[in-house]
Amino acid sequence: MRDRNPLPSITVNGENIRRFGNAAPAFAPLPQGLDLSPTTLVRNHMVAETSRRLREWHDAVYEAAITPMRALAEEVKARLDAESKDDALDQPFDPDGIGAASLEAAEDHFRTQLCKLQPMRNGIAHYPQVVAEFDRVLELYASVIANMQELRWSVLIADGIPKPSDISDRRFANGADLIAALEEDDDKPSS
Amino acid sequence: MPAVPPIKEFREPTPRFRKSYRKLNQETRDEFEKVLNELIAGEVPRGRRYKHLSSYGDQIGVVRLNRSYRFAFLKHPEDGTAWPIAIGPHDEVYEALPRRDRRRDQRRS
Repeated sequence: MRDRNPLPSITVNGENIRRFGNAAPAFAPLPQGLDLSPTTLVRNHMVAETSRRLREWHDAVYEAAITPMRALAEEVKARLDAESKDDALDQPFDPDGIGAASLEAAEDHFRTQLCKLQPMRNGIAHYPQVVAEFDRVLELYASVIANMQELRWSVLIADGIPKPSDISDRRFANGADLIAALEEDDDKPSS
Repeated sequence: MPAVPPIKEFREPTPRFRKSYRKLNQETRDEFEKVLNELIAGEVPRGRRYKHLSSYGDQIGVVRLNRSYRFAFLKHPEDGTAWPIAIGPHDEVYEALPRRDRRRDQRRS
């Protein structure tokens, strides 16, 4: 088992999150040339070869997607904990929301890919060795989506903490009043 | 219906929160209004999965709006008010996976 710790240090900012979100979908499709058709797998040597390639693919996606995401999420959590003693974060992680938007798009991409891959499992059901590796890949894709979602929400929450300049005396004692205030400026352009 | 500490009043949403709110469809906005009233009444149905995050001094609460959206708020440590801080897409199907993966990795290492 390879050592997956310690996590590398990555600067958390919108640009890096966006880069990661934009690069991640490249890992969603299975590698080109990987043939899971029963006519190919009927040849014994292809079962071992296909299992090996799926295993390598699993490890490559893990290193490329899960490892950096966990590092980013840890960094967000550490800074949020440290800043909780003050009023707010000095600088937002993702000031214009581009990082969160790219993660959301990447989550959708992996979700779509996962839906495409799941039916392929039926075709390989007679090859337990291949199925086992294939299931690990499916599980990993679900984990990529989950970790992206967790990272995106960590950033949303951290950046949502009000700055002193955001704080006013206005209060709302029921849902309707708050919704009315939120819809006051519905016609105004987004800032 | 489980009782939770009621939010006395909500405070002015930040510009960032307003921007997120503008992306919601009418159905989700209606659900959000319902959740706000539940939080103010201190009566949040179990299905909302109300919880506090362990970071930021336990002041951040999170509730589910529906299967695909959730809302986070920051409680004032003293006066019982809260700021709406985040609202957006959240697929609950994948919610528990990162924690489960981390536990599995810890066991492996």
